[in-house]
Amino acid sequence: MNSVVGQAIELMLIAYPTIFAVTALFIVLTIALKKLFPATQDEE
Amino acid sequence: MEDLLMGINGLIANPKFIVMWIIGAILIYFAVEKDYEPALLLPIGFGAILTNIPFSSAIGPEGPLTVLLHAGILTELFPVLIFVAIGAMCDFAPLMRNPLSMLFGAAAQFGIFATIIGAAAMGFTFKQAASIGIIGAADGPTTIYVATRFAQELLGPLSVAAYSYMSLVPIIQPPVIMALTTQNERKIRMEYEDQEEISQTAKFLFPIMITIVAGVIAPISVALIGTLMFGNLIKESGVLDNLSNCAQNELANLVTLLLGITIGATMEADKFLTVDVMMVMGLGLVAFIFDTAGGVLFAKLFNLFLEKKVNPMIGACGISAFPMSGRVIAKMALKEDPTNFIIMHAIGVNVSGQISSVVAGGLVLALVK
Repeated sequence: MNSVVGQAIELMLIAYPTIFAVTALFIVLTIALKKLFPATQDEE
Repeated sequence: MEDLLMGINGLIANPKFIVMWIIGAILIYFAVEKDYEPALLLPIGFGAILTNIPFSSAIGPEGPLTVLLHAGILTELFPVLIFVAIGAMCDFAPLMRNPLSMLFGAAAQFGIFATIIGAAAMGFTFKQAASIGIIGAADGPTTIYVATRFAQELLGPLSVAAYSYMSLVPIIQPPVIMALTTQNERKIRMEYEDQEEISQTAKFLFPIMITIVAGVIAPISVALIGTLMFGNLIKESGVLDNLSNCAQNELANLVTLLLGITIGATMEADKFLTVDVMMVMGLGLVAFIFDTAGGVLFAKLFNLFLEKKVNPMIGACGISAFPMSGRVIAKMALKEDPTNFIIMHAIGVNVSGQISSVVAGGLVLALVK
């Protein structure tokens, strides 16, 4: 395996799970936003 | 007299120019006759023709296309301005109603990394491989932004690959989905509960939240995610209708026009007609295939833990080809069961792909040295 392939695999092993971690954070914060700022009766 | 003959002499000396005219004409044909991303492919095709006329005054040190290249592409200005326009066109409400759908957007970025590995194995440098893999973001501005940073010599073919395959999503995705799912899985119904209303305050704060979180994790992504969310913010503010309309229309059209023809101008015959470019085009297709596979397989894995299953086809919507992918998957669901309307779920996942692809692009920019 050449070193560039090794670097590419390392990138995948770091970046792909990080995308999920960041997404999980977005999910939590989005749910928090909805709870903190629910739609008013006018908006429903 | 020599000046009058220099064009003809140039063609005789390098017939590859004519091959590029044919390629430009093919792109224009796809744009006009097949309606494949015409706003980009027609200007790219014509730009390719302009740049491949011998001694063309459109390029060269003082050529207008060279000026545009330096002013808009090499400065990364055009891609970020397009993102303002895209952000203004986005509606994140479906995503906010069902935030878990963002996971499918994350999963569908798999093709980026699989393709980077593939490109590395084929002999490209790490930065070139990263630029090729980012075609899997299915996002033109992100592709151009990363390519400008890492592999300017591949900017032309990368852009052509990205925009061509985005328009070919209706052809690329269905066979991959059919291969990875059973008919029973494709028939899984996804009902709509009462549509939850999202408050305007939440919609307004959402882009600010995304920008800050993504920016703190990968500061190099702020130019991309920040401008995407800025466009959305001016729409959701409710007080900048003129700016929002301008972003969605005049800005989008003007920058798209200049971007396309400038990208085409980078497609010089000697740089474009190479084995490397053919490999880039092939790897671009691989990126889209693996994106689709990544999203679908993640949805199937997700279903193992769910009582109320999701239709695994919506995993494929996690690519950033919005709204094409959402519509393709919704149509496939209707074909399996004419009463199964999953369009809103599909569009929600498709929108999440926009965010995930920019996050992925930011991480690639941050981690590739």
